[in-house]
Amino acid sequence: MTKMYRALRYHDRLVVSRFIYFFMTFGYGAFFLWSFFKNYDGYRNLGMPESIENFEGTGTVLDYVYIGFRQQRNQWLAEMADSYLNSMYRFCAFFLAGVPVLLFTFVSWSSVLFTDRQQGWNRVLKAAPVTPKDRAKSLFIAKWRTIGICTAISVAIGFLCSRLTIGADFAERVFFGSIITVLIVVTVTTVWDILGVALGALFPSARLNLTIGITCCLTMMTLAIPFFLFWESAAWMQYTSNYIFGPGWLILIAVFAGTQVLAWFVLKRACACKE
Amino acid sequence: MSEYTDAVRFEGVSRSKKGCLYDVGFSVPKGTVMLLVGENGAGKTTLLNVLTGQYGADQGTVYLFGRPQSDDDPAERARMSVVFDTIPYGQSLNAKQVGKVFAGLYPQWDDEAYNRYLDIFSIGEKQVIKTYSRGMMQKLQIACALSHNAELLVLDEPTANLDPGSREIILQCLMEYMKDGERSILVSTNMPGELDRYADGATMIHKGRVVFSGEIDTILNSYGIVKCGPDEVSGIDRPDIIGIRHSRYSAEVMVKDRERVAARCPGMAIDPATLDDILVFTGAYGEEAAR
Repeated sequence: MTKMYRALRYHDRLVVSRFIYFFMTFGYGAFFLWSFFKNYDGYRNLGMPESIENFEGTGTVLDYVYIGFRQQRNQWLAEMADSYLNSMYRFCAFFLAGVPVLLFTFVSWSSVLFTDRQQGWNRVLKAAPVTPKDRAKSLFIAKWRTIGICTAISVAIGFLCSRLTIGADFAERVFFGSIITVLIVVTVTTVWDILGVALGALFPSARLNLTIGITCCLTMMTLAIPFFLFWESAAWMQYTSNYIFGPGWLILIAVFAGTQVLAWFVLKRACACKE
Repeated sequence: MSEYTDAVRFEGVSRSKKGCLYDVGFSVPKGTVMLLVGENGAGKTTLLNVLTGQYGADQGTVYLFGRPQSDDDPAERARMSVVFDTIPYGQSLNAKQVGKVFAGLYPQWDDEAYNRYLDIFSIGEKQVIKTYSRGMMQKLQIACALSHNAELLVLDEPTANLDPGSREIILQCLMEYMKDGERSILVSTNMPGELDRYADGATMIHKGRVVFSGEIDTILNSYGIVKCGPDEVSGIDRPDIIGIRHSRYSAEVMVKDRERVAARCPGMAIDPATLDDILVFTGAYGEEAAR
């Protein structure tokens, strides 16, 4: 049992490495946002930033080109900051924490399903000295390991970035918004997966395709829900319980835990199921 | 190694969905190589999937090592290894990582043997599976199957994608594996001519039903091909006929008891048949015989 989900562990590594790759790829975007908010006041003042005022130049026409370019850029940034400030805040929060969390809770959850069902390891495991219960246990652990790693990284990065760029209040909201998003996404996708497995059981001949198809379609649709909920849910939590363990959290965690317990039984049943 | 007579025994195994099986019954005696022969879609893979726990059976029982098959007995599964028709391992892994996975799954995993088979099959430890040819994928599966000291090897068309040289190497490895007389192999194929010299017995499945099962020598001594004129076919008893191949001026008739046919039709020439011949006549010309 201790080593049997090594296959899934290898797959986890793949997911996590893609996750890190994602952050590196979008690092430029994050850096831009960071520099934008950091220099926001400077851009608001228009005119010439200090670096340009003190610019000595080379004494050629190129100096005018350079200064003109900088002025134009600052002008554009300031206008953008004025009109898009509010939405940029939201976008920033969602971009820094929301997107990675959503993406990788989805990827990690579905990756477990794909690893087990599609890549063929289920055939190996069914023929191997592993009981269905152990197989279900390993899948469940693998699912939470990948979700745990990806969530921890994205929430931490989201929190740190927003803390550095905007401030403590904003970072707090991003932090709790991320956690709420994870709870909602995992809960809803788990419900869809349970439904998928149930439908697969009703139509055994189409079990594999039906389950994967329905799970993926509905999971993709589900991704839209927290997109809208992300910001408002964090505000709601702040309003109802000021992020402290209150009724909002209780409801959310109870629903979340309930679906996970149900998912465990369904998964255990599914692992014992033969085509 | 424990005491049992048959490594595998199927008793009345039937299945109505996704590859039908009808009252399948035969056994693989301990220490023997049994060929499971049949055309594409005959039910070979379905039967092996029932044996390896992938599929359930509507009726009947599968006995493994003398006891009814159980899903909750890891010790029983540890004594069996399987080579699937397609590679079931994650495509992003390499041979070394696959070895680690198997080492975690099988208590008797032999890393030394695994590395030796990788060398024999010329598989690089670090090469990722998705870059393998189909033959290499098959070889990797066979290396895994041979490396955990299983008593029963279940192979689903293991030589299907292999060149003749690789096929020979693998068959030699299988024979070496069988040396101690305690191990058994059930291997499915639709080209029995490649494997019959290494096998002790053969079971043929046609449309989900067992046509014959027994020692290869006995089967080949019984079956024969009658070469006669088209008009002479009617002289052969219908129940003896497996298939009829008509050509312009003659006919070839596969019969399942050539001694009896020779006694009843003394003038006819009867040639011995091979497993390939039986498969061809059953699959391609059996319908005509049934008419």
